Amino acid sequence: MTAAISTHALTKRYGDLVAVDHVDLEVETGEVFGFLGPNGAGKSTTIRCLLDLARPTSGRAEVLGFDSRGDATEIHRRVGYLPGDLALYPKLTGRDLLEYFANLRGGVDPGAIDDLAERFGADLSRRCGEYSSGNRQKVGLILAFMHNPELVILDEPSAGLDPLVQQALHELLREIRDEGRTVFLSSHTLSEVERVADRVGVIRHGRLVEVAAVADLKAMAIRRLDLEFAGDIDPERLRAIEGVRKVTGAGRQWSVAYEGSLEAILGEATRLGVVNLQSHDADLEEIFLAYYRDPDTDTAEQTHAAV
Amino acid sequence: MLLSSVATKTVRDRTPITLGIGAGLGLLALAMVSVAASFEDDMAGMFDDLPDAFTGIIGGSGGNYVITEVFGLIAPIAVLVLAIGGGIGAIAREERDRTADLLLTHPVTRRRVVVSKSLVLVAHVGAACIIFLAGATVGAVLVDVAGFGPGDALAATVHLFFLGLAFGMIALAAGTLTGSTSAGMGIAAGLAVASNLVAGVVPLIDGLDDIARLSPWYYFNGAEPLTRGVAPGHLAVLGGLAVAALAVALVAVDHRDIGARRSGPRLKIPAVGTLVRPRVSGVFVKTLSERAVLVNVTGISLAAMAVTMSAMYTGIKDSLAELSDAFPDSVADLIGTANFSTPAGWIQAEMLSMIVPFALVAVGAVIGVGAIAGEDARRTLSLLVTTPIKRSRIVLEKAAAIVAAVIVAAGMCWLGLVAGSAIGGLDLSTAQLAAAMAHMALLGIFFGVLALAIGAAAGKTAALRAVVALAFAAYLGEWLLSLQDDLEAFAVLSPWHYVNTAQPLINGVAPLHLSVLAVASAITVAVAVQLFEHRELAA
Repeated sequence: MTAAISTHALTKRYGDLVAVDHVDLEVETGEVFGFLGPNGAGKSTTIRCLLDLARPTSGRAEVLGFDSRGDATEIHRRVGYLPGDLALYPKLTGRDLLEYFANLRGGVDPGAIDDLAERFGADLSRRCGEYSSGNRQKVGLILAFMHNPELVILDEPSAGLDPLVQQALHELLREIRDEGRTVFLSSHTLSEVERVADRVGVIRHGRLVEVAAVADLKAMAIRRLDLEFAGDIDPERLRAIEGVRKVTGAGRQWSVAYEGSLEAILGEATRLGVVNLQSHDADLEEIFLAYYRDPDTDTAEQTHAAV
Repeated sequence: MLLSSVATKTVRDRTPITLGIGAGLGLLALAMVSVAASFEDDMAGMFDDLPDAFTGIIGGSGGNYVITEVFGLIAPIAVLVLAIGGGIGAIAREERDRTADLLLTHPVTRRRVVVSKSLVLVAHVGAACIIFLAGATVGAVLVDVAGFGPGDALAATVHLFFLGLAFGMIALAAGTLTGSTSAGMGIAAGLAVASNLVAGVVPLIDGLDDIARLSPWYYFNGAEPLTRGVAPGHLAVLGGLAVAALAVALVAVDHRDIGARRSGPRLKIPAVGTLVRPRVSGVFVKTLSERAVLVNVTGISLAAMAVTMSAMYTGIKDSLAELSDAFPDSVADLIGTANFSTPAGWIQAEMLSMIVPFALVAVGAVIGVGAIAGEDARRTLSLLVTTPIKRSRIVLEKAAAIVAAVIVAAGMCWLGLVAGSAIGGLDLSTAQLAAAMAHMALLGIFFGVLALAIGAAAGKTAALRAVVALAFAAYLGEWLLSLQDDLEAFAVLSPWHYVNTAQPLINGVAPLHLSVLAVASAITVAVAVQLFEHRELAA
């Protein structure tokens, strides 16, 4: 099966600025791929190269087996795209706007638009210029999904959406994956990526620095457990447990950073007389922040100025 | 400090266009004086004998015709473009760009923002006038033209400054009242054009002389500052008008909800609603339908003007007849006829020499600039080009919309001319009116697709400036070149040559001239396609 997206040494320079630097990316058909990176890392530029909005300085990109430069129209036919800086025609109503783009696509099942509008709770009756940023984003999402695209490319889709709508969006993304279609999701929201993505790629200073399955990252992640005991305990008994990295606290209140299974910790805590415990999510954030951070020692990286 | 920063920012935003217009005017003033000098012998004294009807139409009197034309018409148009643009920009443009919320939630009162912006408006109009005056003064010192010295230029420029101030403040008030750049622009520009007609044409009808006093233009030119010096009373009227408009803006800004999202009741007239309802079946249809207001307003205004002018003809043709004998060639070149007193000459001079072609060029250029550069500026272009429509087809459909829009507006004007001819008994040939409109329409189409092509490669502001500059430069260039015997041949480089010289209203269609415009337009569209194919969309 052809990859949904594959880039080969994709490079985009703006003068001296290297926005995308020899990126080799493979997104498989039927997965939700999270694309992460700090502001200006090159996420949007990569996406714009995929869609022939920007032209690579060197290297190439294939989307659904089509060349991004030569077969842009075929790619556009099969891809749904939500731009990061979405803007709509202010004088058209949401419905007129969707109808316009549906017409440009040679027609779209009107039922699909209504279904999506209902799922997202989008108001299509008013003019786009009067929309709140959330409703504008909802119309953008309908635009990206309404023609049942084989691949959906979303640039920061959750911007301005309330949690309920975000949930509806994540549900839809999972459905798309389950149908064997592909989602390419650029995002800052780690919890979002964690919830819906199968794999993530991290881009920094235009370079792809990591591609990994979310499950693998989670397994590697350090988690934290806050424990409250009936009386004072000896922290050394916690430190001795396998997988525990760090123990902090005093008296009856202790916090344990660990990786791997919780079983051994719970057993020991019960023996120590635990009365309350609170588990904190796997701190993927710490992992990503480590990727995001600019290591001072990494001078080679710094010569490639960020966008 | 904040006040000064609002002002400083506004100064910075508007300075390029001020300098552009100022520099254009300064150069024009120099050219004007040198051209005037070369014609002095032919034209000396001629104008003193002309009847009021002529001076009313031309917008000035006495002295040298070329100088009168520049001071009376071209410079005011340029200064009003600057002033109205600045006035609209004060509040309405900030609302459109959604920066108004940001600005007005800072610890500065709305009124101070308006005052600050109006001071900058005064400074910019003043700056453009000073550059213009500098050009005219240098010209007057270097070249000796009878009846025109630095003092005359100063007096006329002071009146020009006050006229610009009045309309700038009117635009400020209109934009602040409506919160809409397009509505504010429409009101201010509409008032400028209508009041110009009131001052220039209505008094030609017996018994209506005093109506001119209702028009700001009367206080600009009525006292003939170019020959008779500054008229303080008239300046006071213009200044008072500016102050009154500013007061309206100050009251309005405090009593309005600020912001782009207006949810209040919208004007709903069924017929108009149907006319301007957006249609979205494709790029061509959508582009055309979103310009329905522009096209219809332009077309209906031109048609109404055509009927009015034609109806007026019967009442004033006797006074026009006096003109025909004493008519210099340079005037004839500009207005495209040597005989005012004939129906064709009247329509040519009043409608077809400037108003109609510039209106159609404006329709074409507005749609042309909006076509690609406008979508880019509004950030909707990436949505459009990621649909499975080829870029070449987007350009072709947008170009087709320009063609259709200009033809519709020209067609409405033609209907007005035909109706006016029947009502006023002008007995103009329907076919020859159609021929004249065909030439005019192709000019509008050419500048429209030129704007499209520039906009396919450059940003919106750059495209707009370029096409406005090219249209005016080509217009003035064609006129000035045609006045000089040894340079006349170069006039063929200007698109205006192909609407003016063949006099289609009298001679019918000039196929060669039409073909030149059509071929030039087709080539320009082809270039636009290529430019857009190779265009990268900025993130």
